[in-house]
This record gives sequence, structure tokens and C-alpha cells, in this order.
Amino acid sequence: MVSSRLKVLEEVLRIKRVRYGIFILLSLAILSIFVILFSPFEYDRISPRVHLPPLAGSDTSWPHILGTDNLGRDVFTRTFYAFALDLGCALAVVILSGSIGLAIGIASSYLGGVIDAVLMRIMDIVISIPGFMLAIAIAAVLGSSIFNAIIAIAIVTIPVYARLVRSVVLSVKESLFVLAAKEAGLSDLYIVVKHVLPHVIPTFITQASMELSNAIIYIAALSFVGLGAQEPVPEWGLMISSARRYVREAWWTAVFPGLVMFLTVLSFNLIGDGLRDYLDPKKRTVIGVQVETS
Amino acid sequence: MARNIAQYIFYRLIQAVFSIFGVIVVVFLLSRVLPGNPAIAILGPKATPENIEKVTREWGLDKSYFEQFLIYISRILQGDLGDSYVMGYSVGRLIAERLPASIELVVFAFVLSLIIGIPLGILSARKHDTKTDLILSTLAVMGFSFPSLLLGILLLIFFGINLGLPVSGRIDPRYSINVYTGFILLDTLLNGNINAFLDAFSRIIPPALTLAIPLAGLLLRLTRNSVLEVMMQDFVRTAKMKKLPENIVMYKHILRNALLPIITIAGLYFAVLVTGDIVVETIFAWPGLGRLIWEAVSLRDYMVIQGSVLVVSIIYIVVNTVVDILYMYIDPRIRG
Amino acid sequence: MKPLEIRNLTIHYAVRGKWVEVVSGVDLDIDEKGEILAVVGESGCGKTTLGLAIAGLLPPNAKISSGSIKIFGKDVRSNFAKVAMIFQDALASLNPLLTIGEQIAEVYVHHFSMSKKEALEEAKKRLVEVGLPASYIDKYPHELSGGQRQRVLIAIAIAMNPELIIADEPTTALDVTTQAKVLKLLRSIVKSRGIPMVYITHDLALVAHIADKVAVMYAGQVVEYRDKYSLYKEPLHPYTQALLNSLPRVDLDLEELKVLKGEPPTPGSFPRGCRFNPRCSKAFSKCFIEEPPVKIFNNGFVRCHLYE
Repeated sequence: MVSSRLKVLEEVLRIKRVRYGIFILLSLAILSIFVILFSPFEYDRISPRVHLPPLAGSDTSWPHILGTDNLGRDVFTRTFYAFALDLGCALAVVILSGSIGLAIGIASSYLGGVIDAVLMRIMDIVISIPGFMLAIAIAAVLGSSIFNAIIAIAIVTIPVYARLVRSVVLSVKESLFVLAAKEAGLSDLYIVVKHVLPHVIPTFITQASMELSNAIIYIAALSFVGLGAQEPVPEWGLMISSARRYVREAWWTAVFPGLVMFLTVLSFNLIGDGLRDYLDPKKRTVIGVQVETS
Repeated sequence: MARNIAQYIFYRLIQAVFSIFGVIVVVFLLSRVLPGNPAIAILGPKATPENIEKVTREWGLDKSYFEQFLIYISRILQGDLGDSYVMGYSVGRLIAERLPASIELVVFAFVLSLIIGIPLGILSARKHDTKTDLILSTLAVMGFSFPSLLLGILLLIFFGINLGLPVSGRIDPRYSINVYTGFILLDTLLNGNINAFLDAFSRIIPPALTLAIPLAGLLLRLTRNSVLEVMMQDFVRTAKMKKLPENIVMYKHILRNALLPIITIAGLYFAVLVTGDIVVETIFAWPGLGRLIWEAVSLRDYMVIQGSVLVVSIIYIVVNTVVDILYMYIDPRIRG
Repeated sequence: MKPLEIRNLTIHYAVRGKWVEVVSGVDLDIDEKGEILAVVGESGCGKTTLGLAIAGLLPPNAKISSGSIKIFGKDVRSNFAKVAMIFQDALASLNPLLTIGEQIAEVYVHHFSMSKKEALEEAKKRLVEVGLPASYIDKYPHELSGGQRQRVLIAIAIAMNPELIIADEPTTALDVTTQAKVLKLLRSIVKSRGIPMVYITHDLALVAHIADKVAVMYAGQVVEYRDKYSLYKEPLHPYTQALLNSLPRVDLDLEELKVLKGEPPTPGSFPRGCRFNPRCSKAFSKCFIEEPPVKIFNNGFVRCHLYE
């Protein structure tokens, strides 16, 4: 059992795209850890040295590698603190929506009948509202905080997982070994965990990796609009929002957070892409992204 | 399923109506989840006792939730989305004013993404497994990964600073144009004012590009995969057997079949565009619905947010429904 | 000039970076117009590849490494010859988004410079010729039955006014009654128009109804080439004999059916000597060492050491 899982991992790591994605991600992560542990600047350390360009000197022995923002804060430090923050929040979103979506999907498809119909109707209605709009509406209701933003985005993405899981479970439900297990008198829960879940997991993981990059974008966008992180929290969207006014004088305050955000999103997309190709290289995947079709 | 076109259209329309109803319910529920007195939340800084009483009467806030919902939905059906006390106009009017700008931008961006994405996708498929393909596929993933936050800023800098072009607003306010359609690009042409047209055109390019590039990346990939898949099908071999000219084989046989599945997810494109639109309109000061939402958020104007979400969702449902019905006409296998 | 002259044809396929020999040194002729040559063999013997090569439809990962295919003296690779091919899976071979009328008319529009209207009129005539109502012009492939779709493929083939037709197992996917009807139609069209045809199949019983000459293929080689009557009356090659013996007969019990044991070799791993030696009941020492020579008779040839 363990050896086959290691083998899968080995094969996946051999895919070029996955390698590049992991490389970028790890590099950024290492930088981030380094910054959090060792940066001579706190992320909220305001100073009068406002809008210094990249590589400008500071009052410590270290230069401001990426310059300072409109409050004199070190951009490099903030950008990589934001990496940890945005990534952590995205992870929270995915775990939250993934687990709830998984539960709903399994319950709905396995129990069937009225429960299935009702749950799926609710999922359909949530999906009828463009995701970002719904997230804005929910976040506006809940109040502007990064915590509420996480909840809002999680709610919006639950149906994605629910439908995905449901379709996989439905296709497996009628297959012989499940029916055989039922005949043998095994409990439903056991069947679900041992027989049904293994089929769900690969697709689920691929979708989750793409949703991670999505979550980062949503968090940043919500913060940009004013509904997510609030000052002085270092968050990419928030940083860009504040920096927007000063783009002419201090472009680095907006560009670098965005750049690091782009690289992070890119790395997750590469990984998810590679994973998906690994899972069905020959199967019909016209759709380049995991989409729900009606 | 449905047996013929009329039945299917009917069924689909009913579905759309139910979806719209569901959305209205959800939006209503959200608005009543507001902590505290909804009236205060609606009024914001204008929350005087008289206004509170007025709003409470208007929306029946002292009645049961069910009655409140009836009031709510009856007003919606009459096209009344309420009034924004914060901004001072009716929500409906605010949205109607801003909508054309957004539609113009989104449509322009969509067409742009089609022009960029699909031909490159076809090229990528024709030259698959070569260097060209690899470069294009990489570009596609990169394009798709560009958050509009970053791309918008970059293009703002490039067009605004490096090229010195105007990058805010739809058109130089010094031009006076008679409004015929509400779409400035068309109106300037209809006015015969070429300078105005060029000005408007140069202002729409940066935000449109920002929206178009991620979508183009997606389309590139989709087109490539679809064309590749169709190329391997037997009927393409039959077309080659008939010794038809190459472009006929490509367009009539391969592309027609390859582009079909791509149409079906038009709803997805719309969602992608909407997500990016709010950010883009804010960055480029484009006076559309997205920017209105941004303003509403910073002013805590919940009426406008609520109304906008409703309107955008309804448009989304309508677009999906129209695409589904159109698809029925295009694919004979479903028709029959 | 002969309608079809194949000399020493060898075809390789690229499999995982290596070239694998799939057709080896094939010599075949069609001597007269309207003659039907059947190419018979098990799956994987190279008959479909041979058919594709004659039609000029080999995929990019295949190459003709040596030999020649000439149609009325014209080399196939020069693309001057007009060869039509009828494929096995009619549903997959037709464009699902175009009416069958359009798919037949295409040929007239592009090869005979007809207007769309004229082309559709001609297409109607072809439909009638293959036994379908002219009103089917506006039907889509998925609206027809398997047998009807096969007829459409035949209509397309004759619309091309070809010098040679290749039919690759056109009736394999059909039920027996439909099979017989389509076969009959094909034969009558080919005979009445005097078009030579190569008929590819694995069904030796079917061949008896349609062929004038028969070529038996095994592992990429033609092992026997005779006129029909001689082949059935007096099969020379042990493989042909085994095939004929394994056909069910009304007068024999099922137990007496001599099934040919084993599997044909995969290209790339042919045995030494004669490629049939693992399964041949008449193999002797020489068969395992030397490749058998071709022995020519006046009504064909056979590739076997027994006849040296």
C-alpha cells in the first residue's frame, strides 16, 4: 500500500510542470520563512522614509530590497509576509470548503432521494450567482475582516466540490464491488471510506490545487475592494489597493506584491495542470480546467 | 429529456425562472442576516429617526420575514430595486447608468480574447508537440495565471506612463457626443467624430486587454485540446480521403466540431470576466457597474451592493440559458 | 496497364521511438477493371495498413520504406491516382454536424466544380443508387441505421468517380442480414461500373460471395494469392487450410471444428524462419531456419517451404 503511493508520488514528480510549480512555490516559501524569521523590518514598521525605490538604503545595515511604501514600510518584508498570509488563508478556504463540499457530495449522492434533490437544488442556486459577486455580498454582510472573507469564499466554492464528489460517487455507487460489499453486510460508512473515497481523492486533489490559486485571487480581490484584510495586515490585494494612487511615483509598491502573487498562482496552476494530465492523459479532457457543466 | 426543440426551450426557460427566483431568495436572505437593524445598515450615515421609520415602512421591516419577502419580491418584479440613501439615487437608476459601460468593456474584452486565443490555440494544435506548441502552452498558463490585479497595474503603467496615453475614464470629457446607444465606441462613430473615437478606443484597450489576456490563455488551451481531439477522429480521415482542399478540411470539418464544446461553457467565460471586471474598472477608473460596486463597498452602501448582485446574477442566468438554447440549434445530434 | 500493381511493399510504423515492420515485401495485382481482390487475415496481419497505404492515407507515424504501389501505372505517392476508401466504422467516419447530402455533395463541389445546388442533385442520385430514398439528403448521420450509414460511405466513394475502391471491413459491424444486403450492393455497383476493388476482411466465408481473387495475409506477408475457386477448392498454404477448416459447417459437429491454436505474432517479434511456424501443423526443420520462398503457379503463388 505504502509503496504504491510512493510510486504515484514519484511519477507525479517526474512531470515537468509539477516540478517547475513546486520549485517556484518552494523558493517563495523559503524566502517567506527567511523574511519572517530574519527580516530587520517588522511588517507594520512605519518610518518617515517613504516611497524609497528598490535597493535604497535604510537605517539598519540592510537595504530596502524592494523599496518602501507610502508609510515607509519595507515592501520586501510585507510582500513575503503576505505570501504566508494569503497562502494560509487560501489553505483555510480550501480545507473548509473542501471538507464541507466533500461531506455534502457524499451524503447527497449516497443517500439519494429527497436529500439529494434538495441539496443539489441549493448547490445549483449558489452556482447561479457568479462567485465573486456572491463573495462580495456575503463579505459585505458579515463585515470586513479577513476571517469573514475566508468564510465568504468558502461558501462560494462549496458547490464545486460537492458536485465533483457527487458525480464521482454516483459513477462508482452502482459498480459491482460496492454492491457486493453491501451484500456482505458491511456498514455504509465502511463502504464509503474504503471503496468509494479512493476514487474520489485523485480528482478531488486536482480540483483543490486549482481552487487554491483561485482562492488566493479571491482573497486578494476582496481585500482590494475593501472587504477582506484591513490595514495594517500585509495582504497582496490590500497592498496593491493602497499603492494604486502612487503608481506614478512609486510603481514598485504595487508591482512587486502583484508579481509574487502571480508567481504563487502560477505555481499552483502548473501543479494542478500537471496533476490533471497525469490523471487522465488520454481521457476526454477538452475542458482545460475542471468545470461544472450542466 | 425533452423530445423536441419547443419542449426543450420551454423546459429550459422554466429552469431559468426558478434559478432567478432562487437568487432573489438568497439575496433577500443575505440582506436580512445583517446584524442589527437592517434599516440602519441601509441608511448608513443618513440614519435619522425619520428615515429609519420611512425605510421600515417601505420594506416592512417590522413585519414577519415572509411578509418582508413578499414586499421585496413584488418590488423587484416591478423593477424597483430600492433607493440608495447613501448615494442619493434609486439603485435601479444607478445601475442602469453604469451598465452600458461595463457591457461595452466586457464585450470588447471577450471579442479580443477570442481573436487572440482561438487562432493561437489552432496553431498550437497544428504544431503540437513542437517548440511552438510548448511556447504557446506555457504562455497560455502564464496568461491564465495573471491576476487582473497585477496585470491591470502593469498595463496601467505601460500604457499610462511608458506610452503616455490616457488611462482613466472612457473618453476625454472635453468631447461632447450625442448618446445614441450608450456605447461610446459606437456613439463616436455615429457622431462621425473620428478623434473622439480614437480617444475612446485608446482608453478601452488597456482595461480590455487586462480582462482579455487571462481569458485568451484559457481559450488557447481549450481550443488546442479540442482541435487535437477532433483531428484524431475518423471523419477527418474521410475528409482527407475525399481529397478535399486543406482549408476546407480544417474549417468545415475540424473547427466546426472542435469549437462546439467550447461554446457550451460560455457561462464560465462570463463568470471569469465578471470577477476581473470589478478590479479592472477600479484600476482604470472605468465608470461601469464594477466600479459602482467598489464605491458601494467603500461607502457601505448595502442597497447598491444587493441590487448589483441581483442584476449581475440575472444577466448571468440569462446568458447561460441563451447559450444552452443556441447550442441546441447548432448541434443536430441534440435536436434530433 | 494494371489497375493495381504492388511490388515488394514494406511499411514501417514508429512505435515508442523505434521503427517496426508491419507489412513485409508484399506483391499483389489487380489485372482487370471490375475485378475484386479480397485481402484476408486475422487482426494485426497488416491488411488495414496495406489498405491505407494504397489509399494514400497512412498516418504520419507510418512510412513506406520500400517498394511501390502503382494504380494504372501511376505511383500512389504522386497523388494523381484517384482512390476511394470505405471505412469500417461508418458512424465515426461521417461528420456528425453535416447532413449526409452535404457530405456526398462536397465531392462534386470540390472535384467537379459543381454549384452546391447541382452537387446536391447528383448526391440524390447517388443515394438512390445505393438504395436509400432521395429525401435522406437532409438527414444527419445519427439519424440513420448502421447499414444505411455504410451505404452513405459507398455513395461517397462512387461520387468520387474513383479508379480504385478499397473497402476496409465495411460490413463487420453489421448484423448478418444487413451484411448480405450491403455486400450485394457493393458488388453490383463495382461490377456495373467496372471499378476495381480491394476488399479487406477477416471473414473467409464472406470472401466467397464477393471476391474474384483472394490474397491471404499473415504477419505482414501475403502467404497465398489465388483466384477464388482454386483457393477454396485446393488451398495450398497451411494457414489457408487451417482458416477454411475452422469455418463452421452445417454437416459437421462442433467438436470436429479444427480451431487454429495460438496467436499471430506481434510486429517486431517475428519468429525466425517462416512467420507461421509456431502454429503450423506441417512445419518441419527448414521452416524454423529459413524464410520460405515464393512459388508461383499460373493462377497465383504461395509462400511455403512445402512447395519448393
